Amino acid sequence: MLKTVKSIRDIIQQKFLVVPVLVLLTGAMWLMIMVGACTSEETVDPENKTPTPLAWRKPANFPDPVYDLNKNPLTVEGVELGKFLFYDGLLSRTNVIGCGTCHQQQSAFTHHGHELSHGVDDQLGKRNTPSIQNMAWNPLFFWDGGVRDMDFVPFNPIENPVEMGETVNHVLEKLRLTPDKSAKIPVDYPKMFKAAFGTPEITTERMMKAISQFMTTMVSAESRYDKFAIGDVTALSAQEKEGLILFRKNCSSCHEGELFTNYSFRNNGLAPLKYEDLGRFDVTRRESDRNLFKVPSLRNVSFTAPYMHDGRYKTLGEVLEHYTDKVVSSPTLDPAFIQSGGKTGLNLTDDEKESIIAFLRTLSDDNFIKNNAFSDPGIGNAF
Amino acid sequence: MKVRFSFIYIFLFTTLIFSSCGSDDAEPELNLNGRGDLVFYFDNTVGNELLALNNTTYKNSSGESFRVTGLSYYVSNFKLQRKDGGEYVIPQDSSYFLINAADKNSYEVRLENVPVGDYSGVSFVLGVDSARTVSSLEKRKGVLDIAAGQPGASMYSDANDGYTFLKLEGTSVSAASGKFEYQIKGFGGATARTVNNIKTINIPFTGTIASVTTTKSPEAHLLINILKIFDGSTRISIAGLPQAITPELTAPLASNYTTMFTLDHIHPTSSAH
Ligand code: HEC
Ligand code: HEC
Repeated sequence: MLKTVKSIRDIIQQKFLVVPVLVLLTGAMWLMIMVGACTSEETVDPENKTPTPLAWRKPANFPDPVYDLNKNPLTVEGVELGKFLFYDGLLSRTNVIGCGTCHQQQSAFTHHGHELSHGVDDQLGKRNTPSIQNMAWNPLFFWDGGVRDMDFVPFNPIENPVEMGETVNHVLEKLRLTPDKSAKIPVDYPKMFKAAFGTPEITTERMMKAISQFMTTMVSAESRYDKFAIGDVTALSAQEKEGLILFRKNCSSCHEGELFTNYSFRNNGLAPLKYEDLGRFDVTRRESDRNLFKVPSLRNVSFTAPYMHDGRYKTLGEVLEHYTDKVVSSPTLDPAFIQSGGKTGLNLTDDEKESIIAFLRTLSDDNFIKNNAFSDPGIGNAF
Repeated sequence: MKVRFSFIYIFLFTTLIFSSCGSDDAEPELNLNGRGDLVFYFDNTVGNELLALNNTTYKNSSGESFRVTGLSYYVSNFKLQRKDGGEYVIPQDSSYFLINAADKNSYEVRLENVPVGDYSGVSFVLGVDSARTVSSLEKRKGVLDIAAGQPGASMYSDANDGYTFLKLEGTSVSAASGKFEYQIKGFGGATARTVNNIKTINIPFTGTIASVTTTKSPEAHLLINILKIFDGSTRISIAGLPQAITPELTAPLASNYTTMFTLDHIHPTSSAH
């Protein structure tokens, strides 16, 4: 609501638009009265209007998404509700930590500067916060792929004692008790659920679907690389094109295609740390899955440091150095990193590494990290 | 009086709407054969005693004393064996129940719209089947809601471990911490084959029968002896296993607990209860 009022005022401030806007507004009001006259009472109340479908377009160079939009059709109101839920600290036991506390927009929805996640009461998690972008293409979620359906993702952080430390059940109760007059912005969730789903009932399914709707809209596809991919050959410099060729040769067997991941689980030779994270093995209990992790997308990678599931590398330079010099042998090390002589790692000169890094930077999408549609509506906490 | 009047009003009104909009939907079979209810009543026991939470001390087969602070379990996917052969499968969406020892209302499982006839046995899944465990949110209503249950007493673990089939918690001096906790789960895995602790319970109505008519809903009383959890193919001691909450660790408990259900008696009508 707040947002529409504000944007109409913005438009009106541009004087030359005043007349057409007024005509439109009067027309719209007239229409509402007319509609109200010839149908049942329900449509008179503007709050009872049905949710507005939101057209969702797949970027030209992307494959089809895997998330089933038919079972959760996007609406303007549903996405808006999802955004509020995403940023609201009410989802945590302390009423402070929102999804947006760990997934911050300016770092492509990761937690910049934090190797491991920080949750309620400043407790440390065991893994680095991955980026939330292009989730509609993600067949499996989390570093170990433990969740297969986006609608089930929020359950884990909410109920994880070191992340949000809450229960979904109690979150639903808290949402039902809004608006809370003492809140920074007293959000009226029953009203927002009604706008999004037709009635004010707040259920698990609706809450999860609203968050999924918001995450589905978080698409990043406007990097310089994308301009190149859809035909603008001048979008990349000579060095960046060189880097792209080297990338395709050395990295694309895992960081594949337009999403820069094939979503497989691999061991890229990280040396074991004091705390051993078994990765995919936790899910499948298969020996061959020991220490395997989901191949992350590399879109916006220049914003998402630190890197790897435990955030051990701070720069892309360190990552490339890992691939050439630090790959550790183990029973599940990916064959891509075993050279014919038995040596581990990739063969790349310093110049080649620089070209690859130059190319990786072309995957940055400024519009994604600045787009207001994804920004905190003023209710979140970031630190 | 007034309340009832408006209720009838609403009833008439909705019937009117339904009959005018959805007249094709009527199931002809329903009118031909007639349907009724069959009720199962789950009486939780420890040996020969009815289970009392918190304050009563019991002994297991290893001679350990213990008290029970919580017991809950899912029963689902009911099938009724007809006396004349064949079986009636309860439509799956109405076939999930959660028995919670702390909530007497949950002891009664009412199977509705069962075709009239004589039934000679029942089978059900102790827990939640794997298909439902990996299904989408729309199929997780009521007791399957992933948020269901009081704080700390929820039966859903996460996508990976699915639902807890049976939860038994209590206190015992035999446990080093003074507490024991079992969460039997393990649906076989979504993407890879993992431990499967899903058990089907078969209970023949030996020597008796449940006759469902349009007016009589028989009520079968089942006894659930939780001592069997400790004592079956593997004897479990609280000292040896004070906590088991993973599919692997709870596998022996799951093998044991298939024997904990027995039929006590069947009332011809549930009103006799
Ligand atoms: C305490 C910090 C924290 C909070 C709060 C948090 N997350 Fe996360 N998020 C993480 C971490 C860490 C991971 C990776 C966990 C893992 O792989 O085990 C993650 C993973 C994810 C992923 C999977 C990304 C992928 O590529 O697989 C999604 C989606 C996500 N979070 C959404 C959310 C939503 C929605 C919320 C709010 C309900 C939320 N997160 C709250 C830290 C957090
Ligand atoms: C055999 C598969 C494979 C190949 C080949 C591969 N990677 Fe990776 N990459 C992975 C996996 C798996 C991870 C995550 C590892 C982890 O965190 O445990 C990863 C992580 C990364 C990350 C960290 C991303 C983040 O958000 O944390 C970067 C950057 C990266 N790779 C770049 C490259 C580059 C550049 C190349 C080629 C020079 C390359 N990778 C080749 C599998 C591969």
